[in-house]
Amino acid sequence: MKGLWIGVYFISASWLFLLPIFTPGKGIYLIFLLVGLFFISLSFLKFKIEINYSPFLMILFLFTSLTFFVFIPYPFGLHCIFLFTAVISFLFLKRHKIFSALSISLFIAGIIILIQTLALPLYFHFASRYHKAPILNPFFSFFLNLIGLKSSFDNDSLILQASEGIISIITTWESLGLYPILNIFIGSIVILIFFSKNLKEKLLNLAVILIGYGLLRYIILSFFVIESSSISVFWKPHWVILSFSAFPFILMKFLKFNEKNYEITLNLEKFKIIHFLFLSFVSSAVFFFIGSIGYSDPGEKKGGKIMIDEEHSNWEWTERAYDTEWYGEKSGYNYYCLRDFLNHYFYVEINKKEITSEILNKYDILILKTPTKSFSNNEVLAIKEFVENGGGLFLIGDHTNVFGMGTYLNQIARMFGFRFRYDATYDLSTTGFSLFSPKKILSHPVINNMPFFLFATSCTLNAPFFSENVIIGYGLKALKADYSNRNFFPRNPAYSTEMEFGLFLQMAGKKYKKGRVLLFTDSTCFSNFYMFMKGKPELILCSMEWLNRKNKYNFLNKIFFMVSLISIGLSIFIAKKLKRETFFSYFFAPLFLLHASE
Amino acid sequence: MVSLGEVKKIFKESLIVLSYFLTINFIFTNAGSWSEKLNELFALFSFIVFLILLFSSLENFWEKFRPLFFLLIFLAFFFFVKVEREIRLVVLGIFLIFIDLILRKGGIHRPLFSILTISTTFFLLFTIFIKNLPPLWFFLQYISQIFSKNVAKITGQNLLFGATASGLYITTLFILLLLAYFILSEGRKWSFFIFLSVLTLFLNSLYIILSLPILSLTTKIFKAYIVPTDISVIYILFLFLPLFLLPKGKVKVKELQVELDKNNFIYLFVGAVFVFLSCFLLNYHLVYDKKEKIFLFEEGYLNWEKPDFEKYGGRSWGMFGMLPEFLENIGFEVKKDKIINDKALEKVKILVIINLNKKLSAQEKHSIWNFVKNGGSLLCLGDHTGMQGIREPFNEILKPYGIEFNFDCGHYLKKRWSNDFEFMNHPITFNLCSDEDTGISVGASLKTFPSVIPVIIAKYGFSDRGNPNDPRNGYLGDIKYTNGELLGDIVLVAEKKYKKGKILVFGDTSSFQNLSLTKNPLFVERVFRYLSSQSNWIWKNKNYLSISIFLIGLIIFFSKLRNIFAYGILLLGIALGYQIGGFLNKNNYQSNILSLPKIALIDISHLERISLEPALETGILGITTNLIRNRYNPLILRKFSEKTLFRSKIFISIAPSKNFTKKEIAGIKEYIRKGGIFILSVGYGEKEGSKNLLETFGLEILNIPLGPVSPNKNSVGVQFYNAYPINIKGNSRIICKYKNEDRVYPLIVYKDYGKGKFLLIGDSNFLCDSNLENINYYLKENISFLKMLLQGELFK
Repeated sequence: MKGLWIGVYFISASWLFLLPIFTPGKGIYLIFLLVGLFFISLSFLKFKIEINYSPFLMILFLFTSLTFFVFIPYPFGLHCIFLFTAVISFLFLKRHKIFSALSISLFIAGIIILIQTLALPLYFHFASRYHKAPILNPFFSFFLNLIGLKSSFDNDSLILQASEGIISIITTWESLGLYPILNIFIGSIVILIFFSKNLKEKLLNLAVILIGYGLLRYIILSFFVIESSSISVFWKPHWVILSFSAFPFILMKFLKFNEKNYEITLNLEKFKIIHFLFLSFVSSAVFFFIGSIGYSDPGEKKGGKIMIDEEHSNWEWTERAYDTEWYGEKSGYNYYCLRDFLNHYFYVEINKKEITSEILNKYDILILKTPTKSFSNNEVLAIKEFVENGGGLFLIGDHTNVFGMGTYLNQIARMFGFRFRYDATYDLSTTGFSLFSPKKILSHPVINNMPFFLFATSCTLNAPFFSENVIIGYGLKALKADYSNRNFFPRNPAYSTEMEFGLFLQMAGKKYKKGRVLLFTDSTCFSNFYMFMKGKPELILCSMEWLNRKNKYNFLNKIFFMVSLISIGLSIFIAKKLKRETFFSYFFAPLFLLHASE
Repeated sequence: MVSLGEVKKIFKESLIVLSYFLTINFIFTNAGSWSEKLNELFALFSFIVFLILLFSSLENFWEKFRPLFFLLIFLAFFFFVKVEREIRLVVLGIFLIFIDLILRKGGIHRPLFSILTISTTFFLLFTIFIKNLPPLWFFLQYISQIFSKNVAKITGQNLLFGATASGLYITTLFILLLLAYFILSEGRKWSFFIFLSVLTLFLNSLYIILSLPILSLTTKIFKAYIVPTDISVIYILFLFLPLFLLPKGKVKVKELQVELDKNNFIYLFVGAVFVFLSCFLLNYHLVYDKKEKIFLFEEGYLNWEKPDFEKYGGRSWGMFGMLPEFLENIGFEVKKDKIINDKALEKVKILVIINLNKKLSAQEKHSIWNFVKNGGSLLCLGDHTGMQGIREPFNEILKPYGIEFNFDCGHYLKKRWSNDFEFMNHPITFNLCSDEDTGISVGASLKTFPSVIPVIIAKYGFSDRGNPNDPRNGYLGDIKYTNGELLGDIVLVAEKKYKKGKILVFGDTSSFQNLSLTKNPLFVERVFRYLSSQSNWIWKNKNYLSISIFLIGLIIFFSKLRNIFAYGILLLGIALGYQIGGFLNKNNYQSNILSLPKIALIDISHLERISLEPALETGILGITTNLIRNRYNPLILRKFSEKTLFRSKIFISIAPSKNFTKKEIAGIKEYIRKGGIFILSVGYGEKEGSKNLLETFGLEILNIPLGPVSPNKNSVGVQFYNAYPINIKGNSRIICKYKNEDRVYPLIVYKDYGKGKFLLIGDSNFLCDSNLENINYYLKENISFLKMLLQGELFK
């Protein structure tokens, strides 16, 4: 059964290629899933497999898997193919030893992929918000010095002596391999639940091995960083996968199975109340978990009166028309077209006075774009009050705290738990502009009608855990502002090692009391010369539409999340009461069936 | 028919040997041009794989000796301890003997341990011979070049590989491994041994033919910059085949004996003494304290300028102007002249000729040859591709000595020289830690003959053919490895001992140039000290004598070689001899570098965010040049020591990333109290490493980015790169203030402490090349400011 670990490894590795978290997705690497399947199948060749099924359940499986495969966009519905094929081979080919092994392997692989898919929203939510892991730097530095490398650390970075000088690398969850580790962990748990006794002990061992491996891997990769003065070993999928290649062999050594019993029996026949309860709670857990992420309160529509603040902004001006009489920076980096465009759908006015509650009360939406001047305390409080009472606030910032706009916007943003970071984003592979395509599933209403979006170097956002992800940029690198350079752009974005990479929030929102806040990180995208490119009008209109609503059922997401947690607890409680054999049989069923909630 | 179980067993056995062989090759740096640490890491990996495979193949061992296994894994970190590769091999050999003995005690007998012990000893002997016997090195290179050239011809390729690139070193080591097998085999089937050796050579040929396609495939897969020599490891994998075929010979291998006959003790003792003595002699070098007279020939493509206040940027730091002063300061007598004749060379011990671009007259040449013949030392420093016509005049002088400058550029394969050099056992190379310590950049490679000692070899480098049609670019080639160019094992420094004298030739002048003297003064000092030595016949032929003694020792051992302890003693004898020789070298050598006047230390021991590489923003070429302009002797401080600190006048630390320890801070305080000047340049983003120091002196960097403050926005009219204000607690004097509208912030401040000063600049890059001086530009106002600072005017 050693092949199971290799199988888990390949299935987990495939996600690095299928999703564009670090590099653009490549379908050819679906082959990794097949390789994983092959190794899992090898493990079951020796087994005598007996499958007893209820035709009703099987038909339901077939129907749902096929339906979901059609409706769930690639690659999130890949598990459906595996489960569908598994059922087919159960039904028609189970008498052949090889096909029995294949059937069970397809089921196992399908379930692993399914749970890995379900974990994705959680990973995206976490990984787009939390990057740095500075707490580990002292440990790494100590260890590297111990083995003769010269190393030090400061607040964020691990500092290493390379041949051409000093290089700094930011220790992040991504460079520690969190995503592959998470996938391997999920896959391994599935395997352990199905085939291992002493689950608690094994899980503990697994966790210890994974943490140990992750830390050691980082130390070893530091050698390559020093050698190449590049951190691509942390994100180029080939290198990442290679760096985890020893892992299945370690698991083989330390997490052994009792292979004396060469029989697997799947009983999908007798359906008792306890099974029904188990199914229901797992279903509820999945349903409400996805609901807590996917549900968006439509709210109550308001009057659509927009105020654009000019008082605090000496950039992206809105007053002079973009015509043939006017050229240069001030005409291009200008929001006249934006204002004009919005005027066709809403009522837009500009403000050139101090912001007060009296002024704000006349409007439904306030746009604070690219401030270059500080807000007074009274203004900050007035804006906060405006949102509390149901106003919509749109904050538009830009890269590297240019003109101090990050600093000024953060006076307001911090009231709602957000922060514009003083950095600049680039496409991780090319260091060019980043392109965002919304996923076709569970996307935020603001980007529902947006085909794609080309950024022109944004900053990133720090957002509270319970805030809404509007645009999670992927395959990005974020580099700190360099105040020694013009517009504070980093000097060598293509070669810098001091960067964070992976997923970043480029646009986020929050429903705050009765009102809503939306934060956008790249002001250039709505400049006159950019405004009517595909994606921009759609985004700005939907943003206004979302902000032009007062919250009504805002609390539901939190309730969904709580219900989901309770259901998980109850399912675990019942799972303990189920016999191992039946638990094994039913474990995958609810996960599979209730993917419908997507 | 062989059963599947047997195949599995053979497969596993072959893997065990292969992983051990891989470990050895990483220790030898044969398996690719990786940095020192990466090689150590790969060696460690291979060794761990070896241990895992080995112990998992021993039934019951795992259960019985599990703690021992973990102890061994822990001990494997020895790979990261900085020792000579010979010592590493000795430790490996002793380790194998130790495990073998433990297993035998537990009733487990594995002849494999005996084989590996013998092969480790053979590897060690090979490395000692190759490092000390130039003709052997030359022979291997010659064979390799002929072999690679002819093999490549078969497929129509044009290749010329040195022994490292062709894999001939690996092949030789592998054949030694096979030899160990057959020495221990019953009946010694030599025909099978020869068959496997021929097969290995065939695989070597195959590797040469396939090397370029493999390279392009690997580059494609890993999308990384891989150089031709990086794929040597693939050749080692080829060698799985002969290992796999080994059992086919049905050779029964015996173990080395454990029992030791008491009558043999005397042989072992005598043998050990011989081996110890020879290794001691090999690694021990006479220390030369006598400071002789040096004649610097003034003519050539060179200048004797030093940085001054007349010219800035460009090449204003000059070439060799600092060298005479440097040599005088460390105790030599120096004269410069344009005339070479017998009279001029009277009482001179060392003649230095640099970039000679004019043919010497017959009389001049005869004077030089006579000078060498009578015990003089000739140091020739040339450069790449015979630029400015330096090749022919040099080659004429060197003709009698069998050294020739090639029309090429000995170039690195990656970004710079990094663990690419092979240092032969020589007085000028002992204790060198890295390629960087030599200061060698790119220059010509040298053609040598068997009697010449290749002192420094670019094991991983290539000979980039010059372009005779490009005089404007110094006849440089394309600086890319092209088929047909010699790959690997390029001689950069060579020595010929001729009659009573010696000739040392450098293909590159960089090590002796003005700015290089700040980075590698020890190396330069050692070169001149060596050249000033007058060695007698014994010391001249020390290596050959030592090897002869070594061989006598081996012969005595050979009679007892069936015994495991004999190997242990042999290995220990080698290790002890080497270590004691090395230890004495280290302790006897008293450098005079710290006797230089007005030393200014540029610290890199606290991982300062600077680069020693030229043409980088964080470079220190500018500050070095300016220290010299102001009559200081700048030195790079690689390891912090109070002794060094107290010999200096100024200590400069630029954006350190590693905190100063309490002891260091106490030393620094004492240093300043006694009159030293400590200059710290750091901005807010990099302040963590100087936190302790700043707290000690009651200063703080504020998080207010002022960016590149221009001269009109500060009180002293200098340019800042990325300034941050300083918060002063207590008494401090402000040298420079930021002024903009209503905001005023201190940017450069100092504190009086005893007789000295602690000066803080709120900008990490203020003293770096990007803000001072570089090849392409300079900031006059900053240079003038630095002049006032270094000459103490700002403190008045």
